[in-house]
Amino acid sequence: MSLGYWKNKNVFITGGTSGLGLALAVQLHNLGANVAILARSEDKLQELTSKYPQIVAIKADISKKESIYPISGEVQSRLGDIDVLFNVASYLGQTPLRLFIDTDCEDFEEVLQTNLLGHFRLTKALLPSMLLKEHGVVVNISSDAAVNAYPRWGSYSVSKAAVDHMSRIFDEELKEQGVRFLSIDPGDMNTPMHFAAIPDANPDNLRSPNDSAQKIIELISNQDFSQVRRAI
Amino acid sequence: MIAARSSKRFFDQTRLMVISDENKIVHSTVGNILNYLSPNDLLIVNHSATLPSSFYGHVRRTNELIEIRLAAFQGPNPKCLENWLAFSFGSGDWTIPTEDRGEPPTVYIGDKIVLGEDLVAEVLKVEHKRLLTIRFISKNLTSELYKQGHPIQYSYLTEELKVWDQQTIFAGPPISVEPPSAAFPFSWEIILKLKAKGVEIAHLLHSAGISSTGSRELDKLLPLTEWYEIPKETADKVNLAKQQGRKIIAFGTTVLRALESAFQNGKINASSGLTTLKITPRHKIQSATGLITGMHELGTSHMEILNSFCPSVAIEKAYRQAEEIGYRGHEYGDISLLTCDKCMVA
Repeated sequence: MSLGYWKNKNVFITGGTSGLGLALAVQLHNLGANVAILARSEDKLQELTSKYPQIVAIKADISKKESIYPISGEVQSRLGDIDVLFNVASYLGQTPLRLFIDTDCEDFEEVLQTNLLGHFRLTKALLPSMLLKEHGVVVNISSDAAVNAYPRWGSYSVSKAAVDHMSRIFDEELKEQGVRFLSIDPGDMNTPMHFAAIPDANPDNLRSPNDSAQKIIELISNQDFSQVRRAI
Repeated sequence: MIAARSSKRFFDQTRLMVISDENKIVHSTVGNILNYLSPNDLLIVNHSATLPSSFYGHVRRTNELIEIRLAAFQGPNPKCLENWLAFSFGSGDWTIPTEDRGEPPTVYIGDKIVLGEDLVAEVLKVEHKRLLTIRFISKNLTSELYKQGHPIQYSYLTEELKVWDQQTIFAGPPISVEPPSAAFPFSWEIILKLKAKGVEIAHLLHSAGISSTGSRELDKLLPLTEWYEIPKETADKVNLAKQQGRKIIAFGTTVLRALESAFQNGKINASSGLTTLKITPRHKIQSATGLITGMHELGTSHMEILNSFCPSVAIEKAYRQAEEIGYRGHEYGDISLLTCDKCMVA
């Protein structure tokens, strides 16, 4: 299947104003998809939509349970049934990163509310359309921290390991209904989040979010769902 | 019938009354619905989500306090949520029976009802002192509707509802003002089992409207004009099922109203628009052979629909039994399945 797959597809991206989410939004928009993005920052949303007025911008905080149906209602009202959902929005936890034993319980909870429960709730709210149409793809963005126990990455790692397994379980339960799940480790990217975690990282050793976005887009264009968790 | 007073859902354990061919009545549970639907039956569901549709504000001209409850979406499509019918209410809130609410302020065409910093309802038409045609004005309309709106609920409930309490497992675009609640007791587990058995599922959109106005006179106007949309895939599935003589089950009275509205010259037309159709016992149902619906109050418009499916004698007998057994009514209550295709349906 070619990149023509994306023409007129309704795509929703959480965390769509920076890093990988932004790269996905712009590339998919350029491929002819109808794109909606979600972010917390009004300014960043306005900045993006001033450049790309066709992109639907929704301001909300995915970590709040009360936000979920307003988000799903708004995106399905303004865009229609969603064909592909990208759960990209992520919270690292307090920085500088701390040993797990020093992590505040409340901070761990906040990481899980965004990275795991927020995406679970939003996925659950948008799945009915996919199940009724018997097609759809949900892409959860994971990390190598989901499989490697890096010291000081405790909250984030645990949330991403859970995201991997959430993706596997959803996929196992729903693949026969035409709805597929991917959990993608996009590699170490040159993003604000990476520098928040590792301020002295060498940018030359980091991948561009645009490259990761392109690889993810190709993977879905090719409808390759042979493995749920992928490192690209 | 006693009211279900909580939004708690019992899924498989919810009571299910089946009125089938030759007016046979069976009392079972939703978990056993697989026994009453057959391979190749077509089940059509309402894909709409429910918007929190009660808004408190004031009339800009007089500064009087007012509640408006959206009554039905008027289109032209879910991308534009500006146009609605609405009822006004006076003092009080959902904890007070609607018939005991205070008189709402009188409003006129052109009045602006301020519901939030960025949400105003302009009165376009006054159909009745309390029945208004309104148009919302906002820079961020959909998000403002969710921000300012509260779920419509009634005094028989003991808890304040949250937006998620009103969503069914089929929820999509938010055009209903009260939930298409026949689906409340259903989980995807049951739906997937039905699909595995060979039951086909299709969907449509219909704006489920307000169920009670607090006035007998206004209740007689229900259901109001409501917007619906039947996708081509669904129309094709219904027409094929009809040609092949298969059972077609409307999952909720809203689905039935949409199907009957789009039925012309022996087939369903893929279409969208407003329907004024009122299904009465004299209406000859042509699009469906069965109906899944809640347990309704005698004398309501919902009951009229049931009587268009099965003889009122059969319905009354079934409801008497249900009351004795302790079925619960209203949106979070028990449900019934009518498959009376050999009773009255063409």
